[in-house]
Amino acid sequence: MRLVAGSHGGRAILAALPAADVRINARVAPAIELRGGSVLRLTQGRMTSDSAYFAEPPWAVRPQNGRIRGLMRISYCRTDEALCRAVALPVDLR
Amino acid sequence: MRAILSALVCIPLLGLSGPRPAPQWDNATWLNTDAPVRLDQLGGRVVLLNFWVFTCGNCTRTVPSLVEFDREYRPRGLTLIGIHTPEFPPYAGEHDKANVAQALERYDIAYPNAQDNDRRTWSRYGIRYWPSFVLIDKRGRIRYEGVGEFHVGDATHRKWERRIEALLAE
Repeated sequence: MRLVAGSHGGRAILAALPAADVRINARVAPAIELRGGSVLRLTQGRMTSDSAYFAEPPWAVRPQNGRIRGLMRISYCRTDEALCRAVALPVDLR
Repeated sequence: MRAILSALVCIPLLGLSGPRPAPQWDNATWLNTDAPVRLDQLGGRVVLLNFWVFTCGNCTRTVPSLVEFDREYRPRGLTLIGIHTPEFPPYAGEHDKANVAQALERYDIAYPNAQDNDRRTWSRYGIRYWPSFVLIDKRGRIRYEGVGEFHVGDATHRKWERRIEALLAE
């Protein structure tokens, strides 16, 4: 899984791209704990009909144009398993 | 000599030491009970621990099975305990007692639940995934462990049912 920069409706956004065969938990949306203490939640994006998972990479409007550094937390489920895992990944996006 | 040494090394690996004692938990915040539930108060009862969090779909989809276990087996000697363990830091709301209480009501959960916000019980039991299950016998020993979602009537539900019944019969 990784954090990518993109655009949506003309706005700069950040999105969490899941690895293959992975579903991202939508009931606890991914979070980026930014250096400096603020937390950015990636809450946007279409969900599955039961609202349990994101059906597309979750995203948020990019808060600034500068460097994005911190820790990204994601709760995810592999499609071949019936359980949830949580990871915290360092991110550094220029 | 080498064969004897190999055999000695292998003995513990074969599990001859038997079931290990279940670690005590000391969670301070509980729901669905007037006072904290302690393992040492449960001697003579079979205990099923469910490590879960309300934001985990795999966990909440398993709850109907657990509610059925509680209804069926509580009078026969099973104590089911939810260990509610957040995935994220407090900003996500999983630590809030009111949110946990709301989830218990939504999913019709009547058995005691501990808030394991510091993950101390989770760590003592070496848990890694949501949901996880630990079945403890009447003597306080861990007999079965498992992970993953299951549903009323499916093969995994029936497997846990057989395990619970076997321990109740001991």
